Amino acid sequence: MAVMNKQQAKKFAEMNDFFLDLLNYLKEKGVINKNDHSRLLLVGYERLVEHLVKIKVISSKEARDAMKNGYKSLVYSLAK
Amino acid sequence: MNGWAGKRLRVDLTNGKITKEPLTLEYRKKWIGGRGFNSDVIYNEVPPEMSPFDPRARVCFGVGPLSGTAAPSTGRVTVTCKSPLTGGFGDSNMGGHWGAEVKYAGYDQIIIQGKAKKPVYIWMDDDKVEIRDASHIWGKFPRDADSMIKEELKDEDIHIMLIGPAGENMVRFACTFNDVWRAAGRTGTGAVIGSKNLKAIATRGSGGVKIAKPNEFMEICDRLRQKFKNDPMKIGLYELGSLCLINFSNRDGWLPWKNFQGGGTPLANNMSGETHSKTVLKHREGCYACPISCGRFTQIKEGRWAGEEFGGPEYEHAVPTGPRLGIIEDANDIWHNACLTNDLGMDGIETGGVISAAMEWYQRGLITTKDTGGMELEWGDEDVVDQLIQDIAYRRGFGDILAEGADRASDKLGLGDKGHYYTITTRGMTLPGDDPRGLGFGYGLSFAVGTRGGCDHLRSLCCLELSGALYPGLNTKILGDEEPNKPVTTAGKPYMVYYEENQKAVVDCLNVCCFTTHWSYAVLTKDQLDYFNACTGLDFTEEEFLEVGERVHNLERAYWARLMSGAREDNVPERFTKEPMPQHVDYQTNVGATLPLHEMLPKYQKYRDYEPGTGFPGERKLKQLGLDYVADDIRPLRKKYMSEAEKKKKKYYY
Repeated sequence: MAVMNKQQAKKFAEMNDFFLDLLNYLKEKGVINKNDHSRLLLVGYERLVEHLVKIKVISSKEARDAMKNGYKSLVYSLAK
Repeated sequence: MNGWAGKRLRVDLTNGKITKEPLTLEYRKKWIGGRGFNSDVIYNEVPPEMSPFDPRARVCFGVGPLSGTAAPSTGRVTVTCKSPLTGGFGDSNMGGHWGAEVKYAGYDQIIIQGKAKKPVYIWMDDDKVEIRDASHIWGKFPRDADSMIKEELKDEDIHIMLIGPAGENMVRFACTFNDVWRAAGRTGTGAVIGSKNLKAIATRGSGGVKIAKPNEFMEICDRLRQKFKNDPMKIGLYELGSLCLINFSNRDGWLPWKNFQGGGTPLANNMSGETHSKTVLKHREGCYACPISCGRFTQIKEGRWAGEEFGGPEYEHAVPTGPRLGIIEDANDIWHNACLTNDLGMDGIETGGVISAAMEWYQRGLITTKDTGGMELEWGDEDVVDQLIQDIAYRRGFGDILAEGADRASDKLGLGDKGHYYTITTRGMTLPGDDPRGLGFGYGLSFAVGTRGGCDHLRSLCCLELSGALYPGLNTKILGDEEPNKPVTTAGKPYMVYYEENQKAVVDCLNVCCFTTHWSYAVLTKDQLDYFNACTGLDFTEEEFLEVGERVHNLERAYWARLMSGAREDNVPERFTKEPMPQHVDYQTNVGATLPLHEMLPKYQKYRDYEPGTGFPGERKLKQLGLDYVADDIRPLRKKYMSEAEKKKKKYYY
């Protein structure tokens, strides 16, 4: 499910420190709620990927790629 | 009750009153134990304006729900007070076996308040607690005091917390020991204990720890112990101790040379773990329930110090009292300095820090032999260092000034801003033997923002950039990328520091050794949660667990806010941000590096949700963490912190 366009994905991929900005973006777009935002900030990237699978924003295969190749893979999945 | 003993012991040394206070389930869930319990007591019972040496001030010893169980490396104890070194929040933790013994005696925490009329020690024999005369052991080295108390109580198997002469003399960076050699080195906890005329707490515990799900708990412990068998950091620490880092730190330019004027020396291998093991290692030692055994016991065999024996040294002890002072040619001098500071009961980091600052003041002509009582403070002069260590501990002559710590000594000598340029401190405490221009930019950021001042591997721990590369995929699992495992980059470091601070805080609440959870990543957050839940019978989620760490961090940060310390004080010594790292060996990896602190700091403060401008914990965050009363405390202080008068103040300590 596309929650951003490719230009936005590129912007995230080029960030020096992306995690907070990505969570803020997902909250702003209504993909995650305020509680998820606080929770995911505490527990880190792997739990974010798991959560995005759970709410069907990315597929299991995209999640595997995101864990293997890191957040750049994830943000481009979010732009598909 | 599962995990916890469920009560704390409070001893008032002024009136001899001894009380046992229950700890409710709600309280235990909020703070877990150790650092959490202690930080709560200091925040609520020691007002920021109170002197740490005021008899009403507290010093706390806390253990966690896992202390005394079979979970790996659960022998640590957190010691907390208002720091006499920094004037702010202070704590430190130590390994050994005393923590487990305190738990077996039936306590999760000990609070000491008041001041005895004459030197005393406390004897805890399970539920029986008494205050005894310590006049005959006052002035003794920890190793001698330990033996004398055991002989007096006719029990070789008891475990004892104690201080050395420096603590009795209220040297502002005196440490606290147990089992003679295991030190809570930082922030001057030993001086506060000494100010209360307390020499020791001897403990015998014959109880146990009840486990909610014993079979599940033991399976988890067995699984985690198996992970250590082939763990790369465990192997290095067992074989070489923390001195295993020397050759790496020299290669990567973070081994401080002459007060961080350089990042290493061609002779570093003289003091490496490899050399130590071949020449002076007598045997290895381990703390309670430890699968690593990083502890060393050293016997000097040759030269002027031949025959000296002691437990240690650690990297963070040997480096500040060795190469940081220009001492490297004869490693026996370094081992001796470590032995001497241990016997006298002082933090090796601050001892080396204040002497190296003085040597640089001397080098730059800011002080002369008129200030030093005739001593020529030349780099690498072991005779001078040996003399100064003793003069500091006994507060003699120039040593009495240095016993105040680097920043206060600079002011006592009237050296102004120039003097402070060479004190390598943050919020009044000397930084450890790790140059962030090489060790890593995450470490540099954590030095600036740590909640006890200049912090080391026992606080704002970002080993994801130190040892993270040894655990492929780990940085991605937590941070989303492998790039942050490179030390000299800012990539991902703000989030790394935020995550690791919370994670380390909760580990300190459990009182588990960070060598199992951070240096080595054999025990990850999920594993910690598993053994915590199986032990206590609770059902914490991962976020509830880490939120405790965030709560503790914000409470400690709020203590500093009450002292008017916030965003402006989030800094590191200018040497790291202005002076490019020079070259000392041809294979060095960080030549020319400076620390880009201010590229990382604003983002980190956003992660923390600190209030813009002040850098105080945000009201929203404090309420989310159940710290409404803290929000009430610091709300009126925001305006004062932003006033022009306050902005003009230079604050080196509080």
